[in-house]
This record gives sequence, C-alpha cells and structure tokens, in this order.
Amino acid sequence: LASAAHLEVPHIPTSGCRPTRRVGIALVGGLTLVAIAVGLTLTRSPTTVIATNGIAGEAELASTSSDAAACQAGETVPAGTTAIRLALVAEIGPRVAVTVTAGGTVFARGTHSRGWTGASVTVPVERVSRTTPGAKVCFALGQPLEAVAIFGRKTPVRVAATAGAQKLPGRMAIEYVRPGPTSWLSLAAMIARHMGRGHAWPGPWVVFVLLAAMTASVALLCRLILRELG
Amino acid sequence: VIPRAAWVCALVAFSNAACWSFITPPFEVPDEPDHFAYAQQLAETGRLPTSNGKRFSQVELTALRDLNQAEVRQRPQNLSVFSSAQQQRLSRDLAAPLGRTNGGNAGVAASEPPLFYTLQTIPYRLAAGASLLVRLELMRLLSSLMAGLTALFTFLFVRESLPSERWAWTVGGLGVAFAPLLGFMSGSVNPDAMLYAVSAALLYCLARAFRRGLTLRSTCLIGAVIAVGLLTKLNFIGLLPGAGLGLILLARRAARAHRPTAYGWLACGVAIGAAPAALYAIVNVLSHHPALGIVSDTSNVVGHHRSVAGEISYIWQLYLPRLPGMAHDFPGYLTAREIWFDGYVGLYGWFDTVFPAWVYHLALVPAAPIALGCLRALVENRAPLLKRRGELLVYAAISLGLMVLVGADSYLQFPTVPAEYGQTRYLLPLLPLLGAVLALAARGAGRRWGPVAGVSIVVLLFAHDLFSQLQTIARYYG
Repeated sequence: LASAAHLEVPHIPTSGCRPTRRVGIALVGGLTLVAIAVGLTLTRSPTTVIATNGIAGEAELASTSSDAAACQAGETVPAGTTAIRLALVAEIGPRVAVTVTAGGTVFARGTHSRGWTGASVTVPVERVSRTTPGAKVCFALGQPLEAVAIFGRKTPVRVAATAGAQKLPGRMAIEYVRPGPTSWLSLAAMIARHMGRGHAWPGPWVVFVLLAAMTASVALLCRLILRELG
Repeated sequence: VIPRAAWVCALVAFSNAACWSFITPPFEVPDEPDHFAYAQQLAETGRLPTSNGKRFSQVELTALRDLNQAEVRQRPQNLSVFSSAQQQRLSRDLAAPLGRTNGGNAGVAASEPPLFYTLQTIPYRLAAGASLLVRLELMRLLSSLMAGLTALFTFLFVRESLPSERWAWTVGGLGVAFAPLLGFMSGSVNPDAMLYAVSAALLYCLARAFRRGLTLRSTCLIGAVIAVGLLTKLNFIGLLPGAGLGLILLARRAARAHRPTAYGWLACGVAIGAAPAALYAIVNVLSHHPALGIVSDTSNVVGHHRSVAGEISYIWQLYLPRLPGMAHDFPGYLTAREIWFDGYVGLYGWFDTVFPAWVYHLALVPAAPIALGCLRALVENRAPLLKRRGELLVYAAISLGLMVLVGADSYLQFPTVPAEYGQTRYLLPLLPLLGAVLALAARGAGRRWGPVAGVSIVVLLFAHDLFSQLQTIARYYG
C-alpha cells in the first residue's frame, strides 16, 4: 500500500528472487485440476424426466404465505427416480421437504434448501428401487418470505390434492426425474447441434468459436501470469 | 501509459463476455426483451420510449414466441429451441416483413436514460436487413466490449490504489475479467454492462486523483464520467454521494496545498457532472412534461410507503443479520450469504440456472482464505491505510450509496416481493473493489507465496467461469 502522497511511478518489487518456478507449478497444477474436474463432470449424466403425472401446470391451485404442507395421492412413482419436480412458483422459495409413501410406508424422501427461484423446484430424493403405483407424494414448505403458488390442473374434488383436511381445487403437476443413460460427453454432438439453433447465424460452428475463444483466453491467461507474476 | 497487461485483461474480459453472448439464448437474460425494445424504438423512430408497457414490436414478439421464451423462462425443465423444425419456423418468420415499431413500449427499461441505447443503435443499424437475432447478437457484442473496459479500468484502479506490487494488478484485473456474472450480464443487451464500465472508470479516476493529486483536468474528467454514468443507468445515482465526497476531499487537500483555485475546479467538475440531468429537466419543463420525464412516475411511488425506521431496518437486513429490536423482514434467512454470495456464485438466465446446492457450500471454502488473506494484508499495512482514510471513506461511501439505493428500491415492493432488487448484478458496479480485494488477498500470502496465491485465485476464478458456462449450456441445450 502506498501513502496518499505517493506520487512516483509504480515500481516493480525488488525483494527476493523471481518465483517463476513456483508460479509455473501453481499454474500448471491449477489448470490440470480444472481439466480433471471438467473431464469428471462430462462423464456424469444429465437428469431426464422419466415420467410425469400427466398434469400440466396450467392453473394456480393455491398459494400460501406461511409454512404449509400438502399431499397428493394416486401417483405412480417410477423405478429409478432420484428427484421429484413440483410445480411450485416463487421468487425466493422456502425449504421444501418431500416424502413419498405407499401403504403407510415411506419409501423416498428428500429436501431442497431455500432460496430457489422459478416455476418449479426439483427435490432430490433417495433412489426409488421399483415402480410404485398408488403412492402419496407429500411436501412441506418452510416459512416463505413471500407467497408460494401451487400450479396444476383443476380436477374433481375426489382426486384433488389435499392440504391438511382441506381439499385443493385440483391436482398439482409432478415430474419424476433421474440421471439419463448417457454421459454429457456422449451427448456432445447433440448439444453442439442444439447450440447452433435459436441464435444468429444458425449452425454448430458456434461451438468451435466458443472453444477457440476459450483456448485463446487460457493462452492469454498463461502468458500474462508467467510474464507478470513469474 | 496503459500497461500491456491491462489490455490483455480487457481482451480476456471481452472474449469471456462474447462467449456468454453466444451461450445464453436470446432474451434469456433478465429484462433483455425490454432493453432491446428501447434500443429498437430509438433506432427505428429516433424517439425515446413513452410507456412501460410490454406491447413490443411485431418482429420482437414473433421472435419471443418462436424462441418459446415464455415457456423456457424460469422453467429449467424446458430447453431452448431444440428441433430443426422450430429453427426453420424461427428463420422463416423473422425473414418476413414484420413491424419494427413498438408504440413507445419498452417495459421496465422505459425509465432508463438513453446513452446505452443510443450506442446500441449503431450495431442495430449496421445490421440493417439482417434478422432480429443477428442484430441482437451484434448488440450483445457491443456490450461485451464494455466488459473489456470494466476489466481495463479495474486493472488501472488496482494499479493506482495498490501501486507497490506490480504483479498484484494482474490478479485484480484477471480476477474481474473472469467474473462469470460480469460475462453473463455483459454478454447481453442490458445497460448494466455499461454501468459497470463507467463505475469502474469513476473509481479509477478517483483513485488516480487521490494518488497523484487533483488537477483541473482530473476534476473535469471525473465530472465527465459522472455525466456519462447518469446518462447510462439510474442506478448510477447510488454512486454519487461517494463521488461527491471524493471530489470535496480532493479539492480540500488541493486547496491546502496552496492551490486556492481547487474549489473552482470542484465547481467545474460538479457542473459537468450535473449538466446532462439539468439539461434533461430543462427540456422537459420547457416542453410541459414532468421534469424527470417518465422517471417522475416511478418517483411518485416513493412516499407511499411506511416509516423511515422500517425502511432503514429493511435495508440493514437486506445485507446484514437482524439486530435486536428490528422487525423480522427476512425470518431465518442470512441474506448476505443466501442472496448476495450465492447470487454471485451462480444464478444465471432468468434466475433459473443454478448449480447443485453443494456447490454454494463448497464456494465458502476458497472464499474464506481470500477474505483472510485480504484481512491480513490490511492489518499488516494499517499504518499507510490510516493515512489514506479519506480515500477509503470515499470507497465505503460509494459502496454504501449503491447498497442503500438497491435496498430502498426493493423496499418499495416489500413485503409483496421480499427482495425485488436482491440480485448480485446490481452490486457489480463495485467490481473494481473486488479486484482490489483479490489483489490484497494474494499479497496477504506474503512476498514469497503471494504470486502463487495470485495464480491460485486467478485459476479458481477461471474455473468458476468455465463451470458457470457449462451449467448454462446444460440448462438450455442439454
């Protein structure tokens, strides 16, 4: 730090030897770790929707500004489910805890921490080992900061979701999610094609531009670090 | 002379923002449809927007429809345009001769000043005859250039404020150049991109004046930057108290150093800074419009609200833990962590593109040593810091002014919306201070290990940016 009256041109530090070697090792080590992390990530699988309850999130069924719970019976939870997506809408969503029961036995449960935003929340649950028809999906909301809305479709009261003793005016939209069968890496070509759509100058060339820009950025980063910090 | 390293930081920031501009689907950045509508209105008619309605031009509404914007926005289960049939429909519809005027509607952007949008009419007009998406991409690339300026001024700010360790300037510059939120916002059509650049320029000019002394030229330059800021985005108002304090302190110091004309320079700087706003008000009054134009409608909201004490309490809790005696405005929430920190770690798209929850916990691990390193450097240099307390007070006032502005605006919607403007992007005008924190954190590791710590910080931020881009790709195209 320099004093306020420090008017001379900035100077290069003069103390000690130039730690080029240490900087080089840190740079190579850091970038190697990043490459390994990216590689590991690409071997993972994206989540896919394996089933829905056939209800579209087209109408607001209810909203709550306090901690609340609701249940929906008659759900078929497919084998392999690792997350359940609920049609809840919030700007800053509360904590959501999901419990899935069948015949009075809990066979999947999970929580999503608060702070989510959007028109749905995907709650990870323990992996469901076998398809379970006639299940009851219950969720409990923590104290929200604002109203949380439940979306679904209006149905006859007898099949509607319930909030305690009260019947909601319909059923909530629910999706069942699990990791897909293929890795991100094997989907690379498909994603490249997809990235070329919906943009200016459509075509998968955009991926090569991105790769070139990222490579150039890394090259600049390395050169600058070795020159200035080395 | 601007060092070559500063230009490299600018190039990296531009390249990064340009990548974001290609990755993020059109109109999947907060308020981008509104900002595009403003620029289009200006380019097509030469007139400012007159309404905050959402009835945009026929061509924009067609693009929004064919891009499934309403279905994709805030619904992370829905991908962007996926099939070749959707692409063909989009291309065919946008090639048709659709209306390009919007009747003065620019949504939430309508009340913003016109400078950013005026600049955006250049790429808009350059692509005359091209489709809306080409125009939008060129406009995004212009915003990306502003990310480059932000990194450039951050580098220069760190150089002026921490001049003794040259290598640390690069840590600050590159750290900001790889900030994913800067890339995401500057890879879109949004005046925030220019606000970040102008704010960084203001901080640099102030730091330079504190270090080298005030001159007529530097005062006029600061005034000009303030004028540009006021013409860029209303949020710049939050920086004014700190900038004003800085000018007063600098003028007083210069006057003490036997330059009695310093107060004249101060008046000159203030006049230059206030000129655009004054001119705007005079033109409005002469043409029998409200003095602040469309902003007057927004300002009417102020005063309809509750107590001042309630507002202060709310603004405090928006950033810090509640104190005894305060109402529970965010019950159970640690806003600094859950709104601001997590928002910086990863919240893209229309706040619908996030990392898995564990990433936000993991991010605390590197954040802690960065904070500790910075603290150590500050403590070790407390003596010279004390001599610079006036300058530090100015940076604190600039930060506080912006935070209070964001909090006060959010309070207008509270409690219907708990934190309307609780978005980390609104604090990015303070990015140069983050650059200084990163540089200090590296220096906190000591002379021997400082450069190694600096490399680690830069590589960490590069990784943060890379994974943020991958997460966004997975969300929209996976």
